[in-house]
Amino acid sequence: MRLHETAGVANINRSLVGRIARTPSGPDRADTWLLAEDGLLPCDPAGYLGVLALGARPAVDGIPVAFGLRQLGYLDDGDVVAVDPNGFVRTLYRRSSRHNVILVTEQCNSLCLMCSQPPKAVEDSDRLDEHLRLIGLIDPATEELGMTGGEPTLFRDGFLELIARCKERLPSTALHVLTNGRLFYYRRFAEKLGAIAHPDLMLGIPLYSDIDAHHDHIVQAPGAFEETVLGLQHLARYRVRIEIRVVLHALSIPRLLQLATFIARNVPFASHVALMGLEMFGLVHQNLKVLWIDPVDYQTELRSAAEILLDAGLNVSIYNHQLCVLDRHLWPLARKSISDWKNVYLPQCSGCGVMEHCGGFFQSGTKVRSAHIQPVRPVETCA
Amino acid sequence: MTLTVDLAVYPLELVLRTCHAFMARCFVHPRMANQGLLSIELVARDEGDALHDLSGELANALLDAHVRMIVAEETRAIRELLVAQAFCEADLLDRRSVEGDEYDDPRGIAS
Amino acid sequence: MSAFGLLPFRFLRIDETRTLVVNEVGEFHHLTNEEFLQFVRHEFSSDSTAYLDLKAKHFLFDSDSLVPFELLATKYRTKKAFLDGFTSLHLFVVSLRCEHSCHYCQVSRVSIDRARYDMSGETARRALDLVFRSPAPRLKIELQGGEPLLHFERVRQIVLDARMRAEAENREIEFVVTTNLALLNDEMLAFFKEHDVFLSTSLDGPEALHNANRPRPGNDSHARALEGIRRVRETLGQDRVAALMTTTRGSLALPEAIVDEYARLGFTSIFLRPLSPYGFALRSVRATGYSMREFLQFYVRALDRILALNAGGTYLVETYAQLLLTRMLTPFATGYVDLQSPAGAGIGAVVYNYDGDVYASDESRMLAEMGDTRFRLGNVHRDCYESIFGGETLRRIVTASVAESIPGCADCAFLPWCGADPVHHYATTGDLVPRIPASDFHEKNFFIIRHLLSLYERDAATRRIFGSWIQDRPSRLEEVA
Repeated sequence: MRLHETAGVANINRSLVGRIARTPSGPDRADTWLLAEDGLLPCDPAGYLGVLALGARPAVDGIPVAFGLRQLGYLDDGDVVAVDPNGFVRTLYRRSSRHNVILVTEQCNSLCLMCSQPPKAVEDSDRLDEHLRLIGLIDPATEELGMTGGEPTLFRDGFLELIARCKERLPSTALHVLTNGRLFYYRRFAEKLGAIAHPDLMLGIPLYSDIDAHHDHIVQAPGAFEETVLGLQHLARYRVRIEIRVVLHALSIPRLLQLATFIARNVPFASHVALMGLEMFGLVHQNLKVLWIDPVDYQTELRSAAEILLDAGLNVSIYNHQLCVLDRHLWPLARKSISDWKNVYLPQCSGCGVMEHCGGFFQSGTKVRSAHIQPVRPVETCA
Repeated sequence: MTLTVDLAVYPLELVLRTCHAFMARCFVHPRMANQGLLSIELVARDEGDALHDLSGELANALLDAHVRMIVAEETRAIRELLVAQAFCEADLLDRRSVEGDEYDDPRGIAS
Repeated sequence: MSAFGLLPFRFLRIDETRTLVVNEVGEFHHLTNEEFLQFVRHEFSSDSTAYLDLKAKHFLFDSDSLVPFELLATKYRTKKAFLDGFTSLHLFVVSLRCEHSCHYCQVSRVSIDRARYDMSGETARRALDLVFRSPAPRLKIELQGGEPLLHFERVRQIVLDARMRAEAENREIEFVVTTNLALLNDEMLAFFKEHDVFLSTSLDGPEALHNANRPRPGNDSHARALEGIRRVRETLGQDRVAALMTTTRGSLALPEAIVDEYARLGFTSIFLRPLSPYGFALRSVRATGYSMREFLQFYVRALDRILALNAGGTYLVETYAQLLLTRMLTPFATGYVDLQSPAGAGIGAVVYNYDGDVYASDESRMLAEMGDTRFRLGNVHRDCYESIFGGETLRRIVTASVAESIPGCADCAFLPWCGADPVHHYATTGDLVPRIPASDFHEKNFFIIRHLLSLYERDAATRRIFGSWIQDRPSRLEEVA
């Protein structure tokens, strides 16, 4: 499923963001793209933001129009789409998806060796307006919304504005923000976030080692450990909910148990700990030599670490692991975390008795993977 | 059974503190000998009680007590600071850096 | 060699080859004796695993990072957080009347027709005034005796009155009635159900042992207790009644049988406690007396049986171990008054006697019954809150109970996990401050802590069981078939 496409455009001289309507919309027309198919409009486009045409350009004049789209046929009422003057059409939000994410910025102040979304040194703070507008257009019945980057907090007040806007417009939407948490080293920044008192906010913050030098090396930023750890303390003080995320690879496995103990003793207030398999995106490929370890080879450490965390009363989930490489004791912690439309299975998976419980692979993850992928025989899965 | 301790090696207070830990197992009689030496006599609590290696144990306990004394001295200031910081509303640690502004970013976190 | 500084810590030569180090907030690590020497001599290599482990656990620091200091200060505050709420547990001796004649009783019980040993309504009201002066966010009122059900009208009044006040002040409150259950009737059950009251009863073990320890007319204490337990579970719920045991001389030979009895009756916790040398227990010392060493042998066997049951899938917590393990393995404080520094006597829990006298602990009340009133904090009819809770008597007790200042405790490696019990020390030695090597409080805790440490190291399965006790629920990782 493609989230963007280049279209032919007319009358678009700045980025326009609007909601999709396949049928005549009510009072919010000025925010709404009327969706046309095969040149046919559902109604008179007067008063609408513009027209998005799947296929041929409809006969309209004087209003913004993007036409010739072929990949975005899934668009439906309530979805939000941006169209840029250069014809770039971007799906920002799909109402039927459970995994809507706002990419806040592509800037980042870390450069993790396994970064799956490599940052760009581009000044993109002008995205903020689009994000704010997007939040205003998202259906308030949406259950979950993510925010990622890059590093979202780099927008500072802009970041706080996003959170506040979500509280205002989407008060029942759970907000999950991925951040390295480093700027919360500044106590007052954490205080300001806490003061917004968003009703359902969780920050997912990575911690890769109990040793400062090791963590700093993995994220390629000296001082990051100190900043993140003190940031966590400040966030706890102002009652911001935290999830700790650990990516499992050759650099984080050796001290994984010690990290679990460190989290249990020093971040006991974490709402959740996510232990994550390596995603084969981005910088992972160029750092593969130092990062790769077959998951089958670290099951002992993973199980012990999970037990330490569970025994400390923390909630633990394991992501991005196929069930056949995961110690069976850990299956109850495994989550199908790969979005429905991103995951695939391999030929050697055929006949597996637990495929429907297993997240499979990322599309990009099928080349570099465990040497031990194999079907779990049905007879072994008797309850 | 008697152990002789050179007070140039172990301070008197430390020796007495260490002897205190033995009082459940024997009677302890410290006495000044000459030239800065302390003589510690260990006497069985009950007749027929064997003292075994108590004087050897006491000698080793003195070593450990000495280490404790050094560690306590080295860490005293930190310990007092930690306890005070734990209970104090104001900050006693030098937190000028964390009180910085996220825009000024004195530590250069955002770059 | 590397430049690092020491953070405050304690140590103990735990065996022939290893030294245990414990930091100020109870985090610990085992070092070889060689590593320990390198550590204190600042000769550690900064690459070694032991160095890294000590650094992460805040035993040493090697940069100007604020992290170790901030975290240690925060964790220290967390460990002492029990002080925040001040007095949260309030025990009411509703009556001294009792129809049992337990050998080890700490109450100078009177036979059931002596109504002048009942707490009056006015006394209860004034005691409640004091309860609600406490700043604790969650209050717990425990009604005991004698046998409180012999004076049920007072139990009613206190619960109703306290609930009303709690609602008016928007405070959380919990009630426990400590009873032998022999006199439980439908009216009482209905009342307890309506007001969410928990019940705590005594179960010393299998029938013969229990009845031998706890005589009553008809000699049917065990049967009545079981019947009461059954009725409470049926009417109020499975988890609404807990049981406590007292270890007597007769118990010492039966650790497995006692544990099995608890398991058989579906209890999820058992508190293995030695007898305190007070009250009626003192009089019958020849019958019920034993040394701490004998108790500890009993404890080890009972704990082994409990662990075996857990390993077999039966969830049963040993409460004292649970308290110690929480202190050893987590950053959190615990609420048990004898394992706190300063001790919780008076400042964590307080006792209101039937006559309005206020005591820092049950032991203090017992001493008064025997003629020594020095630990009486005041009387609800005569003294105000400030003089009871801020007065000289309480201050003296608290001052003597700061383990960090007690000789023998101050240097002890286990201090962050242990506590103090000044009234017990006074009752057994005449001095509020213990003589540590000779103290049975020390002997008990030192032994049990060492024992728990060695069990913890033994295998992962035991660690999982301990983890489930700390979390107060069975383990969550089962092998998926």
